[in-house]
Amino acid sequence: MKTNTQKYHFVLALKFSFLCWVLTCGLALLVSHFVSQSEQSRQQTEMLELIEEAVELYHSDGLESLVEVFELAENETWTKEEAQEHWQEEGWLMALYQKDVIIAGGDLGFERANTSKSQPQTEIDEETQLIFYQAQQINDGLYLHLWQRLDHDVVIAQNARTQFIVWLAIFCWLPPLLIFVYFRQMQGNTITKLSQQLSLVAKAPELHRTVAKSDDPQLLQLCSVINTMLDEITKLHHNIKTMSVGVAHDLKTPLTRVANRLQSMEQDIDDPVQLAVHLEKACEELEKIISTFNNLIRLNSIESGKYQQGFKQIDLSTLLLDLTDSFTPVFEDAEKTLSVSILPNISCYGDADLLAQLVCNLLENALEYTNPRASVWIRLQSHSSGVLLQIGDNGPGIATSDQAHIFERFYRADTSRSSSGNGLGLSIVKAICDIHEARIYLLEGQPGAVFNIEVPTH
Amino acid sequence: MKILLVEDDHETAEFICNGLKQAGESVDHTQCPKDAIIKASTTSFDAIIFDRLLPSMDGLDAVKILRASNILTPIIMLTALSDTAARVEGLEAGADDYLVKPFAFVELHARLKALYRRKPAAQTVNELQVGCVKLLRTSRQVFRGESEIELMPKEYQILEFLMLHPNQLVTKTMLLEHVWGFSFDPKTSLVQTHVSRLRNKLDKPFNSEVIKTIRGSGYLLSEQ
Repeated sequence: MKTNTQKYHFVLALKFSFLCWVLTCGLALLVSHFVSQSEQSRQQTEMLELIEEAVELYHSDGLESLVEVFELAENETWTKEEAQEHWQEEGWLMALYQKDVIIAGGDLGFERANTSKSQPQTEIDEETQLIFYQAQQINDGLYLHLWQRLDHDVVIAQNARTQFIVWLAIFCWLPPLLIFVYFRQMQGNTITKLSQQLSLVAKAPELHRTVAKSDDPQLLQLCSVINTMLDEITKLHHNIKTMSVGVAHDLKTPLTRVANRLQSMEQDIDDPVQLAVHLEKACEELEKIISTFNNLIRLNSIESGKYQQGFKQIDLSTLLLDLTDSFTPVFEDAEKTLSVSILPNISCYGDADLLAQLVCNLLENALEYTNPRASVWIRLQSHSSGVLLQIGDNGPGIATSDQAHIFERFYRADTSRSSSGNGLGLSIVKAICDIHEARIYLLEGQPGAVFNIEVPTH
Repeated sequence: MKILLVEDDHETAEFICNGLKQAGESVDHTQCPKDAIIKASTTSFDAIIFDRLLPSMDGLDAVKILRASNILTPIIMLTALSDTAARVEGLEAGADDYLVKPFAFVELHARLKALYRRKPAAQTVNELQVGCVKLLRTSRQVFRGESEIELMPKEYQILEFLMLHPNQLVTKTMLLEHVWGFSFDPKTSLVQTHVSRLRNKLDKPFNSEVIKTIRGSGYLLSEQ
């Protein structure tokens, strides 16, 4: 694993530094080429200007002035040795030809062009030196030829540049390689630490979270996202755990009771009256199991969101008035009061059956978990961003430690699970609120349980 | 009653067949929806019980075919899908009632009877009379004998539903569906409370019961 990682980083570093090397060398070559080009063209321009000046002088002052430009006496010609010496020392050579006879300067046997005005030419001699050549016809039969070597300073500068490029090519791959290796190492360390932390999380998801000791904002964000994900997974994990316990318990109790009833039936097989009692009780217990499953199916079906397709505008005021009319006698029979304060003509977008179940479940909870003569209220009013529905009671309320869990499936504040509910009522309420994009919360600092539900009106 | 049962699950089929036979009804059982379509087209049944999820064809499609070929036998769909959307889908396909599994046999039987005895005109009749109880639907007035009885809206609706199905078992679920429009079962004694209030007004002053409680099953409005 470790060798693989090292090999991977090494190959990556090599690729990166090779790319840097190619780019740096390429850039240096390009710059050097352009500098040389500009220097050569500057020298050629100067040469052209010199010739033009000489020709002008010839036309105004005659041949004497022309040769003076080149610091020569009239009719001064060089022998081959003299010309060679001048070429070596000065780096240039001129020759003035009358027809094919040289009348001033000297010639080292370079190629000549007898055209009226030749383009500047360049060639390279045996010593690989760059030579510029320019020929100019002065009058019929009189030709001026000028050869010039690349300036000595320029040659030195060019050589220096070449040397620099060679050294650059030899060493420029090293710094990026080192820098890259360093950064990869740093990052690699953080990632290795992260994977070590994550392997701990796998063993105990509740206990461990990732911490990145790095300034890299991307890594910090990654850690934060991983932690959020872990929190969510832990929550789900916890839900599944509670749910399995809930399902197991909520099924086990009634099933045990059914089994007991069946045993009693076997004992009382000759007593038809007792038999009927056992049978009825067993059926009641089975109904509880079926009701638990129906609620679970209902909850999943609500959460699947398919109800949303059938959403329409609902007159919430009428719906609630109808429901409270139905529930008032139930509350009266339980010696509790239900006070209703519903503003008319308040509507929202949703599913009437689900909204009815939401209210039913909350009212039933209030009915079940309050003491005799408790008062329960339901209020409906407009709210800044929609509708505010409040269902509350002055009963014992919900303990602070339980408040965070009341919407969880199968969660019951009563840990003995002796009450008749199945711990799904508030989960269904929450699911209904969620698909209606409504916010439900328990009011704090209230003597009883007061739920506020904010339903958007869009 | 002569009933056609279309159900692929052997246990459920046996449970329904036994129940119906014991209740004195005649049952014809088939597992195949195509077979059921042929049987329903050639024989006259009083009601058809159709399972929604069948192996070779969706029960919903079979019902559509039956309705398209003008077979108007009342149909009850049995299904494991309990949500309103599925219910509406079933009713729109042409089924007359919709029952969610698992169900009690009495529930199925009560619904079958309700369908069988339902007179098409009953929904539009303005005056209902069962024994000494009279209900005027336009003025929403209720009389027992000569005396008028004041009822709350829900009590009135319960009585109306019972009077539309006289001498038949009406279950708590049927009342929740038709009177409250709920597709869920509230934990509380919502139905019991309202029926008991209705009884207090309709039966108590006259010392005789027209609404009978069938323990664990539902209610029955009798003619005497």
